[in-house]
Amino acid sequence: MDTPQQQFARYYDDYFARVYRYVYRRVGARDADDVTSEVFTKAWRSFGAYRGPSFAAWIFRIAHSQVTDLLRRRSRAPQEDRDASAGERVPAPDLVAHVETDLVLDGLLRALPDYQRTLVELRFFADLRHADIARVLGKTEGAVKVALQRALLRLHDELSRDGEVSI
Amino acid sequence: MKGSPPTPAGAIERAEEVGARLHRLAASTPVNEQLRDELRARLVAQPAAGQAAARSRRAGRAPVIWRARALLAACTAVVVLVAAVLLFTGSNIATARSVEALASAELLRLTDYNGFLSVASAGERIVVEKNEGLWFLLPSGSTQALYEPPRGTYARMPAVSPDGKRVAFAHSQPGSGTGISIIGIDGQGVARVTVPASEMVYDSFPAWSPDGAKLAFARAELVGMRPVTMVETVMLLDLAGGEPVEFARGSHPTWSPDGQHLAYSRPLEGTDGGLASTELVVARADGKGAARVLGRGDEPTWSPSGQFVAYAAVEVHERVLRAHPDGSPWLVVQEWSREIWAVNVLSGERFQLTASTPAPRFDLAAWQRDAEAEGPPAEGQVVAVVEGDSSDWGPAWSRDGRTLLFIRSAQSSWVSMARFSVCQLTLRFR
Repeated sequence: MDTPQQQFARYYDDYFARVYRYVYRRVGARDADDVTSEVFTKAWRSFGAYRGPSFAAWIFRIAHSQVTDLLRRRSRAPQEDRDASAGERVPAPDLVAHVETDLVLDGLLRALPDYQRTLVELRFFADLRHADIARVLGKTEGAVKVALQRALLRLHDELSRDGEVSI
Repeated sequence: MKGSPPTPAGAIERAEEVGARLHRLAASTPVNEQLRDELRARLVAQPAAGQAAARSRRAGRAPVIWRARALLAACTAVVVLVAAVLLFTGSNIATARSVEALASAELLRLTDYNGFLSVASAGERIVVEKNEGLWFLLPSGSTQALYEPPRGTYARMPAVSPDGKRVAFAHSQPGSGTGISIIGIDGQGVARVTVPASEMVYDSFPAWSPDGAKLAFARAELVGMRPVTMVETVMLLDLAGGEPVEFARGSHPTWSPDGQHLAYSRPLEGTDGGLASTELVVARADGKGAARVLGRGDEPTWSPSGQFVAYAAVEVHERVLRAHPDGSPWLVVQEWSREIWAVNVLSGERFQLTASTPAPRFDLAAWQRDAEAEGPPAEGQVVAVVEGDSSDWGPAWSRDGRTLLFIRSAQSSWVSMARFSVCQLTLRFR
C-alpha cells in the first residue's frame, strides 16, 4: 500500500498544472505562485483527514477558497494595489509573443459576471467535471450544467458581435 | 425528450465552438515548472508531514471529543427530560392544532465540510447523507458507514422505508444519469429501481408511501438549449413493477400518513423555481381533484400524526440603496434567510420552529462605500447577497413525530459553507 507521501505525490503530479492554471486565471501572474504554493501546502497539511470521494473537488475547493480570500483582500486594498492587479488583466507582451493567446476570448471571459467566469474557468482551465464543479461551488450538478451552458452561449453571442465567429 | 422544447438548430455546435477555443486558451496559460519542482521537493520530501499532522490531530482530538461528547450527553439529557415532561403533561399529538419548538440540540457538527448533507429518521437510528455516502449517526455523535458508493458515484438523500428495513436514495452511475436505488438497512443488496435514459436526468428526493409499496420522487431534467432550464416533475413508482409515471410538476414529494395525499413544492407562477420562489401544494395521491396551495415554502415533510407539514421557508428581502437618475435601482442588498416552519394542513395556520440568526458577518458599510466610490454601472445593478450567520433547511420528522431533524449551515461566503450541523428540535403540541 502507498504511503501518504506517495499518494500525495501522485495527486500533486496529476493536479499541479490544473491548479496553477486555474489560480493564474483568477489572480494573475503576480500572485499565482504564492497562491498555488499555499493551496498545496494546505492540502498536504490536511491530507491525513482527506477521505474522498473526489480529490479534484477537494483540492479545487481549497484553491477556490484561497482565490476568493485573495480577491476579497484585494477588493479592500488601497487603490494603488488594485491598480497593480488590474495591470495583469492581459498577458504580458513576452507571453503573447510566445503563445497564441486568444486575446478577444480572454477579454470577454474576464468581463463575464464572476459566477459565470468561475464556472467556465473551473470547467476549462481546471478541467473539472460538472459533478466536481458542483461540489466545489456547493451547487447541484444540474444547476452547474445550466449556468455553464448559459455562459458559453453568452460568450458565443459576444464573439459573434465582435465578428469572431460565424452565426 | 418528452415535453421538451425543440433545441434551436446549431446551439450545441455554437457552445462546442466556444468550448474548443476555451480549451486552446487554457492550454496557452503558462505553468511555472520551476515552482512545480521546488514545491514538490519541499512538501513531499518532508518525511511523513501528512502523517505527523494526522497523528498530532489524533493526539489532540481526545479532549475535543470528550468535550463534544459531554455536550452531546447534556443535550441528550435535556431532550429526554423534555420528552418525559411532555409524556406526563398529556400532550396529545393526534389531536393537536398547534406546534412549537421547546428545545434544539446539535447532534453532529461538520467543519470545513466539502459536500452535501441530508438526514432521515430510522426509528431509533438516524441516517445521514455525508461525503456522498450514507451513514448512521450514532448516539455518541460519531458516524458509522451504511453505504459508501464506489469512487466517482454518489449516494444521496436517504429515505427509510416505513418498516425500517430499507433505504431509498439518489444514486449516480457513470453514463446513465442519477436514478433511485434501494439498499437494506444492513448495508446489503443495492438494487436500482429507476435508471434514467440520459445523463441529463436526475432522480432525487425519494419518499416511501406509508405501506412501503410505492415511491414518490422528483425527476429533474435539463431541457432546451437557449435558455437551458431545469424542469422537475414528481414521479410515482409502484415497487411491484412498472415504469415511473408522472404525477405533477414539482419536487420534494412527501406522503400523508394515510397514503391518500401527497404534498410537494412547485415553482411559483412566472418563476424558475429557484430559492424563495416555490410554493407548497397538497394533492390527492390518485391524481383526482385539484391541488390545494398551502403557501410559500420548500422541502415539505408530512408529520406522522398527519396534521402538520414542516418545511423550509426561504425569504429574500431586497433593499435599494442607490438608484439611477431614471429611478431604476443600481445598488441593491438582498438579505436571505432560511428557517424551519410548520403549517397546519387543515387550518393553514403557520408556526415558526427555528429562527435564522440575522447578524451578517459581511461588512455592508465597507461594501457600499467601495461600490459608491466606483460609481454606478452603465446599466444593470450591483447586488450584495447577504445571508445570516446560519440558515436551516432539510427538515425530517422522527418516527414518533415528537422531534424534527434538520440541517443548519453557517455560510462564510457566497460559495463556501464553513460549517454544517445536524440538529434536532423537541416539539410541543397543543
